[in-house]
Amino acid sequence: MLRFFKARFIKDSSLRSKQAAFKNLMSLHTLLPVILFIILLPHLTSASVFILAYIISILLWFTLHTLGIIPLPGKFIRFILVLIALLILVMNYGFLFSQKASLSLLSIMVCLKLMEIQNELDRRNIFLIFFLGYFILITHFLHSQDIILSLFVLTNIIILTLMLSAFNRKPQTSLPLYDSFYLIGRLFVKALPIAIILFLFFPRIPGPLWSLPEDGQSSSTGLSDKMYPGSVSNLVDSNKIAFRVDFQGPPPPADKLYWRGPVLNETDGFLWSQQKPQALTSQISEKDLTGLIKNRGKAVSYTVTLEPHQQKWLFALEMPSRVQGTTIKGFYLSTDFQLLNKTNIYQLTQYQVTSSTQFILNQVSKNELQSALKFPQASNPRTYKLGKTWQQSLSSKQEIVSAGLNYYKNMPFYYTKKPDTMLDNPSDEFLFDKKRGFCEHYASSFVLLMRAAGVPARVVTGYQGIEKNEVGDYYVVRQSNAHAWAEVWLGNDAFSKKGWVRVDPTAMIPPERIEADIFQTNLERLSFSSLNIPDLPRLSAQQKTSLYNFYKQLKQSIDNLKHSWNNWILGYDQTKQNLLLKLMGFSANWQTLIFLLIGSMAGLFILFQIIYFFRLYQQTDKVYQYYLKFIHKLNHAGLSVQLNEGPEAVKHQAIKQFPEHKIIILSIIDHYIQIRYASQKNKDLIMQFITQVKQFKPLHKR
Amino acid sequence: MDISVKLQNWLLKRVSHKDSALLTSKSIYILPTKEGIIYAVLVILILSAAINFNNSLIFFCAFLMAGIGIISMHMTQQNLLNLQFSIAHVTPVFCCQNISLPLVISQSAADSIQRKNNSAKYSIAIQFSHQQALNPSQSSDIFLQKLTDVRYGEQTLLPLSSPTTQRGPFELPPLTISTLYPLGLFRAWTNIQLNNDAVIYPRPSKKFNHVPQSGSNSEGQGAKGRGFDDFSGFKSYQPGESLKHIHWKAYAREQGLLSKTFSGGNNHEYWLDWNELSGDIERRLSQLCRLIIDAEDQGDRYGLIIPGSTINISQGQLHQHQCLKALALYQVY
Repeated sequence: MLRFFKARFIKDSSLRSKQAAFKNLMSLHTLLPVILFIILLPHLTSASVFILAYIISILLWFTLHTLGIIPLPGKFIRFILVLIALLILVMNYGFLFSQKASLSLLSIMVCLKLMEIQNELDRRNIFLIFFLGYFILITHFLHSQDIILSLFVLTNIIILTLMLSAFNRKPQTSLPLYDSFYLIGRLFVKALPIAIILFLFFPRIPGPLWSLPEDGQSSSTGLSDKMYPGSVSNLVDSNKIAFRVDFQGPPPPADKLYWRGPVLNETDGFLWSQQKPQALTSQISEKDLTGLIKNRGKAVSYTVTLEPHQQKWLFALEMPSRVQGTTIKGFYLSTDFQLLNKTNIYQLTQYQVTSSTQFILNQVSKNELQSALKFPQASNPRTYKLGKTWQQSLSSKQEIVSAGLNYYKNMPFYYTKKPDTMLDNPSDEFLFDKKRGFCEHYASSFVLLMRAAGVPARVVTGYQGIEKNEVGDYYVVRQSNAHAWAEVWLGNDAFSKKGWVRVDPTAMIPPERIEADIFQTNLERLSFSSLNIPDLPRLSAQQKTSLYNFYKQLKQSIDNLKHSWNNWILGYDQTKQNLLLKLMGFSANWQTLIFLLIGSMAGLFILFQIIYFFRLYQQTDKVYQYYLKFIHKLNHAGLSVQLNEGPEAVKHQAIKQFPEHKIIILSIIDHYIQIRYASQKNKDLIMQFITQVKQFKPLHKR
Repeated sequence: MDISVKLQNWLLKRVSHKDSALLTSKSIYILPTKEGIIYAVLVILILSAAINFNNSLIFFCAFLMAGIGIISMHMTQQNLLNLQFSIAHVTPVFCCQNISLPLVISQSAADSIQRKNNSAKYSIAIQFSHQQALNPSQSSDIFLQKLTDVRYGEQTLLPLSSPTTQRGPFELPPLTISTLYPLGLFRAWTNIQLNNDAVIYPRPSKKFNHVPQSGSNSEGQGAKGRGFDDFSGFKSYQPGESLKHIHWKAYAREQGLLSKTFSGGNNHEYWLDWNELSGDIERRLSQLCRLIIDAEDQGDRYGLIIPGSTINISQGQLHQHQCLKALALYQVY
């Protein structure tokens, strides 16, 4: 087989140099599968085993080929390989076109391209591999945009470019390959400012240009549109950041920090869910919601940087009155006052909100009130009974709500992260037997009680509280801040105009009945679990505190870096661009941008020139510089003077070619030799030399 | 016809002859390659993806790649800038042999200011322009594209070889100097036409019998005539005489440099006359060419008479060259 291959190869390449060239290039070709593997790595980690195996075996095949062990497949085997690839893709993704499927297809395609490389002169295939490599690198940003990945992608772009330049160095040439590393370094040093200028001033058109197929496969994180006993307390252990907040001014007090999320209306007594939200407002990108929410009290403005959660909720402090954001498209407020994006949030999203923490929500439809009264038949009978007794004995809704809250306060209810499992009639079990639960137990049982007593009520989930980052002066809301509370309808009539009122039954539990692990902050929990410190018995309490503080500081610094990254790099959009223009004292429109773009590019090139001339000035002394100018003039006039020729030789050549300039040539060379070999510096001589070189204007001769 | 071929033909008309060609920014042309155009499409594709996904990092990558493209264009042009080309002395050949022209490539002095430490030029491609114009894709057997690096301060010698079809001065066809370095996205090129001192002798005819007219003014043959066959004595060494004939033993005895002299057995002296031959011009030239070669081989002393010029009787390499050159340039304008 090998012999056959060799014979064929020699036949193919009529010239021996070609064969030698291919051998020399082997090292570059051996590197190709390696770099491809690195480029594909982030995709491969999430790809299925079959795809992984397929890609690795193709890459191995090519590596073995470059080592001269096995030949590349012929046309027929390549065709079979393509069929296998298609089979694997269909097995994994079906016939559905999704982002993930197309990325897998792309990954397989680039590997199969390797199989088609004929020889080192095969520019078409090799360039295609490089270009696909660039493209695949960039698709990584669709999944994650963190700093580490960005560095990874940037490094790989540099390596790819280096390899591309190595490929353009033909092997016949004599200088070593690493010789051109410096050149590629320069290429990047010069390309980077161009990229930065374009990044800052290129007009940002708010997308999307075309609608994207949504990926059903990626799983959501955080709160969802379903709630059941244990669903929220599962989140609490997660230290993941849900969103970061920059407040303009001080944040509101802790008891106002309710970040509204999914509102749950439907229940079967165990599971809470919601109907398809109806839009209350029309879909416009910048909204003033003050008309809908009768706000009182001071407004608070802030920017939310929401981590992608693959769902539609945009979290905001209750209640938002004004929302603005360029990356969110067509968001709206639903009839139950959820702030929703039209599409799922797959990327880091930033939006500005103004909220009033005191508000009245007294708009509601009849349907809504009716569904907020539905008590699931044949579930939680004891809850129903208790509610009914309150309805009979108490006159107003207000009194019923108070009775409900007092029930939690007076009975021995405990607030715990690890309640017992409650499967059938969880509300009954919680209210009358276990009496130990997390916020979802409190909220759902309270809402059921209220509904039984004839008070329209619903469950609201979201986040509660904030955690300050001391380093960056911003706030963090984590998954562990997930919370569930209740909302009751106190009417919009002659007796009461309060409308929907937030009631948090967990707030009724006195501190002594809250279990310690809830108080423990996330950082404290983390510092001992992830640092893996086994109690550190030898350290004193003070040392422990300082160690903890150091750890906290470090953690916050890292998060601050991430936040700045999110804010200024990932969140750089039209709004930030306009802000930058205003800061620079320009009016924010696209004409300014074009002007700035062209202006700064021109400035950049002038800067490059200045640096070039500065280095030129540094590197050469003036006399030599003018001597070179003299030689350059001669060469431009048709001589071919080499640098390694001495001044005397130059003189003879020049006089021979330009006898009419004999006197000045003689004088210039004479001066040069005198200046060069004189023991003392003679300024007059130097000045004369320079003026003579300046005056020397030989006519061009063929 | 292909546009690039048209362009190249048009550019070739503008090439002027030079002893030495210095590539300046005025004379270098640059255009994107096919790969460069695909690269531009790729950048636009990535940019539209960035707009669509509203992804800042993809924006940045698109801009970085655009920057790389722009700078690589500049670098491709820089890679040719200030290169200097000339042809060194060419050894004459007979017609229909391949002639080898040593192309001297160096960096012009002015470029030295740029970067003393690193100003090598990489992968400079040199080829005859007409090949590129005629078959841009197909490389002919005669002269493939040659690639070379040019280090700063060094001269690179590249032998160009070309078949010859005609006696007379050899006109080197225009050369296309091009480079794709560093990324192959752009091709910078220029056409140069270099003067050279090459002469192509006529093609020697087959050996034939010809009894040349003896030199009428030759002074005595035989004992005095110098040859190589029989030793006849010593004389003092004259520079230019063969080193083999030096009497080294005498030199070792400090008697000075003595040269052995030989008396030749068949030492002839004669004229090779155009008028003694028959046939058309080229035939006569071929025959004279053959006679000169043979005469020189046999160690004869000979002179040449062709219409318009006469070369006196002599022998040696230089004499032979003069004679053959006279033949080569006969009636060539």
